[in-house]
Formats: sequence, structure tokens, C-alpha cells
Amino acid sequence: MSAPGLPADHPLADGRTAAAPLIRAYRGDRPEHLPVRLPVRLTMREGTEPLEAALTPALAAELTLEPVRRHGVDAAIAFTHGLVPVKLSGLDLRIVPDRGPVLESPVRSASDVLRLRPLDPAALAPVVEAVGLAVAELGSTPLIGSAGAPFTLASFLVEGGPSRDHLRARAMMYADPHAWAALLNWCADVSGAFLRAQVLAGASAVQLVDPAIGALSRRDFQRRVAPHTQRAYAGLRGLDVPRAHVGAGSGDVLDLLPGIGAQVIGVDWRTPLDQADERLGGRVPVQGNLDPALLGAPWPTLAAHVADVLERGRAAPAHVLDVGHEVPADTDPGVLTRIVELAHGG
Amino acid sequence: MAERILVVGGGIAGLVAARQLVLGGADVTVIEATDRLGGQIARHTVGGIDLDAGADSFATHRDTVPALARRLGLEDALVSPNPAPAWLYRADGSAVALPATAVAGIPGVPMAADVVAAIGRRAAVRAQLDSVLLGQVGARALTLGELVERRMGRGVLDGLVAPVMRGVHSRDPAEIEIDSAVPGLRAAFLREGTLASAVRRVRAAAPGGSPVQGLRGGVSRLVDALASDLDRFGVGVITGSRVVSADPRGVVLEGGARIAGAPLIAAPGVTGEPGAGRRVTLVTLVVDAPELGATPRGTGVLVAEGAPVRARSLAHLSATWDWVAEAAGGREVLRLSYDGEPDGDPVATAVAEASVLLGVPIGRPEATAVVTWERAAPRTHSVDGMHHLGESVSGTGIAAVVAQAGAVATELTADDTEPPG
Repeated sequence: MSAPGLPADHPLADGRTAAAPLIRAYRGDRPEHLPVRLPVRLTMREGTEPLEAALTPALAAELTLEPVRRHGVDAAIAFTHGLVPVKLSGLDLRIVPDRGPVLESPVRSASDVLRLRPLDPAALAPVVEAVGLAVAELGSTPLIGSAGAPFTLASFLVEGGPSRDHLRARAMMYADPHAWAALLNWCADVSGAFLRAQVLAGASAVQLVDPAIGALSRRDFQRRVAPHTQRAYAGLRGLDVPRAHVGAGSGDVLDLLPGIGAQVIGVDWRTPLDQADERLGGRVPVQGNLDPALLGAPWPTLAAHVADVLERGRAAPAHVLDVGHEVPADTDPGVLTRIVELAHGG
Repeated sequence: MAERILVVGGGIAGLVAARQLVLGGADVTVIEATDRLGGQIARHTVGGIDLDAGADSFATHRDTVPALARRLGLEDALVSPNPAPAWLYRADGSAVALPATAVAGIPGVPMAADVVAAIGRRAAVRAQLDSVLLGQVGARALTLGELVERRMGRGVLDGLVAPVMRGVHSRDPAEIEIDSAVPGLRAAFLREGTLASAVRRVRAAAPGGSPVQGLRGGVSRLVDALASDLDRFGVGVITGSRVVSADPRGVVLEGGARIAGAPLIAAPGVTGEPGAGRRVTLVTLVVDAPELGATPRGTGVLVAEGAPVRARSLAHLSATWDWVAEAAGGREVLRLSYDGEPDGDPVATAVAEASVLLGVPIGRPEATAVVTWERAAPRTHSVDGMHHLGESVSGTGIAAVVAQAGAVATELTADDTEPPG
């Protein structure tokens, strides 16, 4: 088994995960059963803050393993937070009640962008440790390393907190294109370094998570964002691991993603998988696309939805069943287990 | 700090504390009696020019307010005033430029020509005695008035310091603590041994050489930025709700509704005896007076006691701040301060007195504004189990208010890090 660039004891290099169903599907194959991946559901005790949990190696490793242990999914997704590298690069992130992380001083001017310091790879030690702990437990189940995509990160930095319309970020794109490009490059480098550290620590695949992408027009994505997303993937140069993109509302730009380094395209519930495959030219593995809104529906309704997703997914060269980047917190865990069993042909 | 903190008062003190507390992880609600945030900091538009309606600059001896401005993304808006000295209008109706080396009117070089011109040779020679008096002289003075009188004599006190303090802080030097008037002056004096060298030290320590700074567009931008941050951080801000009473477990609103939480009192008059506040009236004039372009009285005029005008001071805003001059587009902007309210028509009085103070006849103004501010009285100390913020406890000035609000918020946030039980 050859795995260029990876350490000899990496799960892909030593063969542990090389033939795992998820990795085969990510590489465009159709394994014996349809692989399923589910994002970590936040079953943390009250008061645990996701960003802090992600930086506590033992806890992050436990949370990473939970969906595999509990539901028998085909991959673990590193329990991390898109803002981990932002915090580790020294920006003053604060956690405020009912809102989560905010940035005390948002990045809004060219001089703010100039003040951003590169991420010191040594600062990623807690993430490397968490991935290492989880990979040691996972055996032949692959771990997917995860990072925020540049636009999603940049929007947070410019807005200074969560935003629905990403208006300030999109305004900066036009008001100061040079500062915007510099900011996106910084985000791309940070995300790329973050993914790279997770791969070297044992992740067998990676994903860029891009929930904000749906706020962009096709033209803005193509001209002002895509080159930077490509730069984030390029952070993995020399490491042969499959690279996924998990967006929300990205239906309009799906066909642009393979050209910038994504090898597996996440599709959310808005676009049926057969249509997505058509837009992708029938050449790219797809991932998706259960509708999180149906997770609370009566089982027959949900089962019919799963069957429909699986049926449409057959149009693509390969398919990994997924629910997007977030499972509603009040989802019955038993339902997730039944979905996995159904997809596995049980 | 699981309990909600109720910040009573949406002035700059309350807003600064609320922002810092929420960033420290606290659950914070701000309750403001009026419909507007900012308290003594406000904006008004006079003749199409957006100006500060109240406080318009802040002391920079400590980095408190510039640091806040940087955190709020207003770094690029920080501006220093024109360094030209203000003038003093004296009881005999003559006007003289204040000494260029002074702080709060206290000369750094007592025998300098501008000092001699302002207070006379005799008074300047008396002030020069400061350089030979033992360091103990005045070392135990508490008020600025006492310190200046003992070191430099009554000539400096009455001729320079009193009018400056009256004009800037609306206070008599005999009532104002040294560090409240000029922070750092007392320590510098004890170290240096003479008042003149302490003054030079304090001047040298000021960033950019200016003891005060402002913001392009007005210091009210601080309030806008604070309010926008509180919104971004999800802090509840209730306006138009007056708190009528507060105790350590909650507050009662006008109308009787009670809100539970730990109150942080950032408004005067909520608890304790209502002190006798002061009223200050600011009359702003926008005038077309090209003669004023030569800035005949520097950045403005301070009025000595006994002088034949009611105004306490006149600020030539378009000569002080470049951004005001740009916005005024060739017109001049003047602002006169009155203790209480001027007699009769405030605008007519202000126009007449501006002509006297500037030595240039001022015609009919293009636009005017009259704003009366209620200034909080210093709060008498009482133990009520609650923290208090704002001018009534911190002393006058945005810098003092922001520093004290920040210190209380830091203390409250630090409490939280102690292990429970």
C-alpha cells in the first residue's frame, strides 16, 4: 500500500484504513455497503463550551469517537471547531452567553488584516494530541480531519461573531478587495495548516466545512473566494488523502468545487443527489444529503426519505450518506442508529 | 457569576462595563432610563455639522480611552487637537495666551516669557521659588489649589490654574483632588521634588504630546461602537425604562416590575441621597466670520473669575479639531459653556460674549444649538452592597469614567474565576 508523504505508521500508510468503505467511496469506488458519516452530536454536559472542548485533548477524542461507538458509522469526524486555529493564532476569542464565540475586535480594515500573525504549527499540539488519541482507538475506521473553509472563517473574523447574511464580510470583498484577498489568504493558510496537522496526526481524509458559502453568488465565489479555498486544500500538498467539501446552500457552485481541489462534494438537502451528480458531470463522489428537518419526523416518513436519498445517490460514481454539518441537538440518538442500519442494508 | 448582571444606566460607564463583563462570560442586561444610550456623550447636528453635544475629548495621560478606541476599531479616528494654547480672559477685560508649557495652567517653566506676560513678573518670580523650596513643601497637599498655592503662590493659582480648572472641569482648584485634576501629577511631584519639573514630566508622558485627544466625527462614535458591540454580543439593552430602586438582588422599574439580578449602578440618583448636581449649558454657534480663520484666541478662551462675561469658557472648535474645520467648510464653529443657564436669550448672550472674548465682532450665526446638561454630584460614600460606576464615583472626564468602569468590571470578572464553595 503506497501512501506518498504520510508517516509510515499513518493508518492509510500501514493499511488500517486504506480499504475502509468510506475511503474507498471517497476515492470513487462502490464498497460492499454504503458508508455513512454523521457529524458529532453535541451530547456534552451542560456548560461545556465546544471551542474549549475541542482544545481539551481527552474530551475532544471522546467526542470524536462517540458517533462510531454509538451508531456504528463508517468514519469519525475530528471533534474540532472551525475557530480553533483562529484562537491558536492568538486572536482574542471570547465566549459570550447564548451566542458562543465572538471576536472582541473584528477584522475590518487593511491594518487589522496586517496585524494577523501566521499560525505557529506548534500551537496545534492539543489538536494533534486529540486526533492521535482518537486514531489509536479507531483501528480500521478512518478519521476525517476538519477545518473551516476560508470564506466561513473570514466572515466570522469580519463580522466578529455569528451572522446570518454575512453582509459586512461581503461588503469588505468590494470595499477593499486587497485587504479581502490578504484576509482570505490568511484564513486559507490557517485552515490548510490545521488540516495538515490533523492528517499527519492520523486523519485518513479531510473536509473543509463551509456553512457560509450559500451567502455568495456564483460570481463572487468564483472570483473572490474560490482561489483561496483552493489555497487551503493546497496546504495538504504532498499528502495523498481524500479531500471533501461540506457546504450549505452550495448548489449553485457545486460544479466549481472539483476544480479547486475538492474530491468529494458534500450536497445539502436543497439539491437532490441525482441533480447534483448531473451538475458534477457524473464524475465525482458525492456526500449527503439527509434533511436535518426530517430527523424528528415519524420513522416511516424518515425511512422513505433515506430510501429516496440512497436511490438518487446511485446516480453518482460513489456516495457517502451524510446529514450535512450539523445534527439538531434534540435529535433522538436511536433514530441516528436506525438510519445507519438502514443504509448498511440491515 | 451565574447570576445575571443588571447594568443600570446606559452612559459610557455602563456600556464599557457591560461590554467587558459579557466578554468575560457574564450574562448582562443594560437598563437605560431614556430612549438614548450614551448619557453625557451625545451627538447633535448644527448647521449640517455632526458635533459632540456634550463631552468632546478625553485625557490621554493613561492609555485608557485610546485603548478602548482601538478595541472598538476606532484607532484610525483618534485625533489630537491643534497644539496652539488657549487664551485667558481676565477680570480686567484683557486677554493673554496661556503658557505653552503648562498643565492645568501650572507652568512647567515659571519664568518663561508667556508666563510673565500672563501673570506679571512678581507672580512669575514667586512661582520660580518652587525650584528652591524643599520637597516637603506641599507634599501633603490634597487639593490642586493647596499644592499650587504652596509651591508657586497665589499669582499662578488665581491667574492661571483657577480659570483653567473652572473652564475645563467646572470646579474650583481648592475642591479638586490633585490626581483627579491631573492624574500622575502628585506622584511626579513627590519624585521630582519641584512642581515645575513634575509638570514637564507629565507633559512629556502624554502620547503625541497632547494631554487630550478626540475622535474624528466626535467622541459619540465611542457610544455607537459600544452599542453595536453589545448587540453583536447578544447583550439585552432595555431603553426607556427607569429604575426606581435597587438592592443587591435586583431592581424595580418605574411601574413596579422587578428584575432579578446583581445590579451595577451606572446612573446617578438610583440609590442613596440624590446629591445636588450642577447644570452646565453649552451654546454652539456656527458663524460665517472669516476673521476667525486667523484664530485670534488660539483654540479658545478660558474666563477668569470676576471677568465681565457670564460664559465660563469658549471653545473655538473649528480651530481645535481639523475634522470640525473640514466639516464646517469655511465656517467657524464656537461653543460657549455656562454654569447653569445664561440670562435671557442664551444665543444672543453667547453671540455678544463670543465677540468680546474673541475680540472680533460676531454677526448673526448661521446655526445654533443650546444644550443643558445635568452633571452628577460626587456620590457620598455609602455601603449598600452594590457596585457603583460613573462620574459621581470616578471623577470628571471620559478617561476617569472609563477607567473606573473597567476596573469594576475586571473585579467582578475576577471574582468569577475563584473556585466555588
